[in-house]
Amino acid sequence: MKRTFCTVLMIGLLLSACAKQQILDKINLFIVASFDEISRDQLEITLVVPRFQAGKPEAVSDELYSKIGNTSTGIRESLRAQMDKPLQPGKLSVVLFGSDKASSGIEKELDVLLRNAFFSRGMYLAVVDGRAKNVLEANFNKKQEKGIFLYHVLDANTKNGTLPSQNLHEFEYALVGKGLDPYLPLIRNDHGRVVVSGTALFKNDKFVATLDSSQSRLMKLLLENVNEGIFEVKLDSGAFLAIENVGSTVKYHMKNEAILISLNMNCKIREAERYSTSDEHLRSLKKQFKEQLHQEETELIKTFQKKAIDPLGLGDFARSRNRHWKEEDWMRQYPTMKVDVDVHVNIMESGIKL
Amino acid sequence: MTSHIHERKTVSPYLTFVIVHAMLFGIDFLFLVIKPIQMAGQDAWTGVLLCSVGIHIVIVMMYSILNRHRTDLMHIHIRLFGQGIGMMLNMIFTVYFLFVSVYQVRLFIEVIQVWVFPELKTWSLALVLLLIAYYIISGGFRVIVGICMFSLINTLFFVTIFFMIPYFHFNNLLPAMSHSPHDIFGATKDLTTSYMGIETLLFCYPFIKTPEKSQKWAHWGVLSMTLIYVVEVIFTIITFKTEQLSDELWPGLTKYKFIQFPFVERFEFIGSSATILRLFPVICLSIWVSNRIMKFTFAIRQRKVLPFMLGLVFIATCLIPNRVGVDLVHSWIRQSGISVIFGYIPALFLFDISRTKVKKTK
Amino acid sequence: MFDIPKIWEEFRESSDFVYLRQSNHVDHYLICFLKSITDINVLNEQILDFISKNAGLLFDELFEELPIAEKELSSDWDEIRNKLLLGYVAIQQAPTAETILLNASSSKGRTVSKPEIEFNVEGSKEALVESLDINLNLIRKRLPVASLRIKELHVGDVSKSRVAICYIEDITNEQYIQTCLQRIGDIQFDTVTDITVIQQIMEDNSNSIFPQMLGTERTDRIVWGLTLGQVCIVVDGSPNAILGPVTFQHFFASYEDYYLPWLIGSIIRMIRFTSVMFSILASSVYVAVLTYHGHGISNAFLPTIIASRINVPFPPVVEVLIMELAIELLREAGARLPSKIGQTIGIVGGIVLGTAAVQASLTSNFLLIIVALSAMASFTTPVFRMSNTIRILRFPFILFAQLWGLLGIFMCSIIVVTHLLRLTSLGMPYLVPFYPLRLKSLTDTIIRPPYSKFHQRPGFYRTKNPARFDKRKSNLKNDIDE
Repeated sequence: MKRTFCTVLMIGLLLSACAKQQILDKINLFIVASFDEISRDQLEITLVVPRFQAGKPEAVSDELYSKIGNTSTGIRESLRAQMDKPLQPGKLSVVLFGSDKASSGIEKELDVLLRNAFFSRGMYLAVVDGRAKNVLEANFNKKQEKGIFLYHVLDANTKNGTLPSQNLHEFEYALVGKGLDPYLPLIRNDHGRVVVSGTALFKNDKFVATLDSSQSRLMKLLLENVNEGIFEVKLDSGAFLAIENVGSTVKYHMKNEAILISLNMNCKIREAERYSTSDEHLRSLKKQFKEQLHQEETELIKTFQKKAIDPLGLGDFARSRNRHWKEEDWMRQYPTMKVDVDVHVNIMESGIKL
Repeated sequence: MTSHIHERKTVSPYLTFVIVHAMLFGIDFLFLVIKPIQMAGQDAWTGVLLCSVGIHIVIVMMYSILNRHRTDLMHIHIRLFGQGIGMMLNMIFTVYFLFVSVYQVRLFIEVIQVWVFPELKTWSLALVLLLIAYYIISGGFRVIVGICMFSLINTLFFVTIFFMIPYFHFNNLLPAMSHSPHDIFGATKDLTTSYMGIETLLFCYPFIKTPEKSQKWAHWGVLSMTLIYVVEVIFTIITFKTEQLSDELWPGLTKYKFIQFPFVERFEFIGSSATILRLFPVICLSIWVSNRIMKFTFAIRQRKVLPFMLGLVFIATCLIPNRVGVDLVHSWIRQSGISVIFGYIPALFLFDISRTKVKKTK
Repeated sequence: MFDIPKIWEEFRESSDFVYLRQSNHVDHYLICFLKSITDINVLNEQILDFISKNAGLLFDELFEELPIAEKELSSDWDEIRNKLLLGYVAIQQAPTAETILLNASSSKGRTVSKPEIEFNVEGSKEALVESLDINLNLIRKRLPVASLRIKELHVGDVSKSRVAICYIEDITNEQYIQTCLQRIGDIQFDTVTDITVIQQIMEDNSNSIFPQMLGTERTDRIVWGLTLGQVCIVVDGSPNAILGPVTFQHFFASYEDYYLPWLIGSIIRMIRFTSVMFSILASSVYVAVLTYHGHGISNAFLPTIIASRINVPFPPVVEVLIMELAIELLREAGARLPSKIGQTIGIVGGIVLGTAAVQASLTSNFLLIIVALSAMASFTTPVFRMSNTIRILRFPFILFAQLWGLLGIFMCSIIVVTHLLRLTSLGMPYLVPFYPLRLKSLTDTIIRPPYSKFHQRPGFYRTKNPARFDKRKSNLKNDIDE
């Protein structure tokens, strides 16, 4: 009995050894891909495939593959014809969308990324100001693989930095959730360097508006608790001061049909040229900074309302406080709705000088 | 007709906890939250609690029947309904448990085909899994329960849920209690599937040393699973929008996509491979139960029946071609599971009580 | 009827058989013995001297007055012949039927020396040797209690090895003693040259690669086991003893853990457990990840791993098998050679071959590190037989990893766990106290608790007397400032 069992087991093992192998150095990986729109139905996909050299992990060269076609999976299939090794998409970590592609909607591409079990939900998405392929063609970094570099740039500036961003999961969450709209970081190719220049705001899956980097920072203050970022304050005297945010908290309240956002910021003075930080001066500085912040934030929200987009998720917040919330009613109310921002500023230190 | 099990083959009462835990923590766990959340939204967790109360009542009924007769269900059937009908009921249970194991094996292969090896043939994986199952089951009940205990390692994977904390939106839990009782009861009914598996206790009973003491542990097992279900439901609600969930097939595995370690960037291939730990307790216990019934009914050695049973499961598994087939089998299993737990067991309980009362009055 | 001239006929081909006539002018005696195992000094100075000085004694008087401790009077042919083979001297007065047997055996062997396999820094440096009497002496010396029982059996039709079963009467469970006695009594094998022969024959499942009895050469470990309720088996001619019943975790506890402060001992023991896990799984995980799950490696790590492997022409599994076999080769070569040459082999194999293999692109740097580490980790297992098991166990894992990646590793672990669940040691479950779970006995498993926590013997031995000392007394503490 035991012997037959063993033989059957061995035969089973040998026969069924047909899981497809994908040996790591015998496949082509890509960490970054970009989507551009060529015409109404046609799109161009660019993949950056890293080429490694034996024994030198730091010497990586990149090879660009790009192809035009109708569906992204179809393009991937035809890209395969140019390659020496099979293509493994599982490592994709950064996806760039050209601004044309983004404005005409990215739902189809998102579906591809979400449907395949091999893709990570933590991958970064970003919109490129102009053609995405141009960014990938630029020779912005010689030391690192382009995809890894872009991943680190986005990571340092958005998730762990001062600009707002959403990864694939969060983007889908905002896209399908009612009462909130997604947004993505905006990337620009600035004379051969990659710069995260602001935020691209979406209405459903279409890119509709941009924020510059200072507005983006203000937006991040309203989205979550932040503990970094420099703000410049213009004084009455015309001089500029730099104040560092060392910890801000944001809370939403519902007050008779109006939304009140209370923003509480602890900060440090970083640059105070020709300005003495005495008690009295501090108080007036605080007041000025507070007013400036209040004004900027209110303007930002007004912009959102004017364009009828809701990246802050005010609708979602209202839904959680109101049992009878309906999306259509909300959309009607939203542009004219009253949203107050209540700013508190607390200057904790002025450095090691008075 | 009471069956006597040698004391060396029995297990301690506390292992009932392990059996219940392992049976309920099966592969179904990976997607059971979808339907209740679609029905009752942020209030789905109340459904979990309601369902758990129902299951506790069923366990009380089960133990009251078992303790009165001090033997397992197949003997009780014969005792209550006589040789003919009793045998038939036993055979129905054999088929039911075989179906459960077929479904579980196929579901596991589905997970592997979707998440790890898209090209893998159904039959090849099924063959290997059933050979391993043969090795486990031929070790006897103690070894099967040992595997159940080993599979508790899976609970460690459940802890990885805390990696998702950055993605939590507590707003999703509000407004609380905004769904009608009808929706919540619908969710409760859907959740019953997740508690399927406790009916094996009806057959494990004589294999437990001092089985009367094991009732406490069965309740604890259900209680701990209820806690895990509630946590799972709440975490799913605050991580996903309900609309997102309607597109997900395996939210339990999608969650692994959020986990990152310095070495390992993807956790899902570890997580989905580890589902094998959920599979073995369920199929081994189910096949073991149907084996016991066959042995009792036809008086043949379990060692002889086992390869035959595994062969049946293998063929049936290979006959389910795709996702649609799996869903179809799932709905059968769901229906029969609900009717066993909430229909058959209470009916048997009432019948048994009235029978003893009639006897007493005579 | 025994007759010395007759036995001379039987033994005359053996040159060490001596047959002589001794006379003291009154009586004539026939004396025979095997000179290879008889102490000539005893014979000359005590036996022959006594005979020549005491003339005129009756044969019975001679037997009573001979100044030798072990002596008997026998007329059984078989018994006398067997005794002769053990080093006795037979004396016969020509016409009588009775024969005097005098023990003058001399055994030559090693003196007690340092433990070589279970080496330690702290603690006693005393190991068993090949002589059963010395070994029993070492054990008895450490356990001066009346209830220490030593039962002696003879095993093997040819070798007639003396096997001693030691246990403490009022602690050890009767069932284990009976099992041991019965299994050793049933042994049919003709030549027992070492304890490992007995171990392999009497184990519950002799087809398993896992040892189910704990072999040791340390007397302190034997004494510790005996006081906990284990049975110890010693064979004449083997410098090892086996202890049973044992559980899985015993094989990962070095006895030195008990000599170190408990925190340090526990940490070292935990390191050992993790290193064993690493040793089993590391190379198979390498195969699984590189063959199937490459996309799971993090971005930061990816260039290093690909760059180290890109010119290697083999698939990962061949690469791993080559390296594992190379390490096994090194180990085997080192073990078969005298220790000085063994070191040279280690250096040549390890450093020269390793570097050359990487430069020739036969293997990746990364794998070299993994294989070397896991080989090192496997040697941390304190029991030699278990460390062999651990090394062999790697290969099925590698095979399964090649077939189904990580899923295969999970499958293989389930098979191994099932195997462990099915094993027993003298009828005791092998995985106890983890399964069946015995919470009270879990104290001395993964951690080595302080001695105040050893107030009870582990419950799974089902001892006759579970308490070792009174817990309450040991926990008394003075109040502050008292």
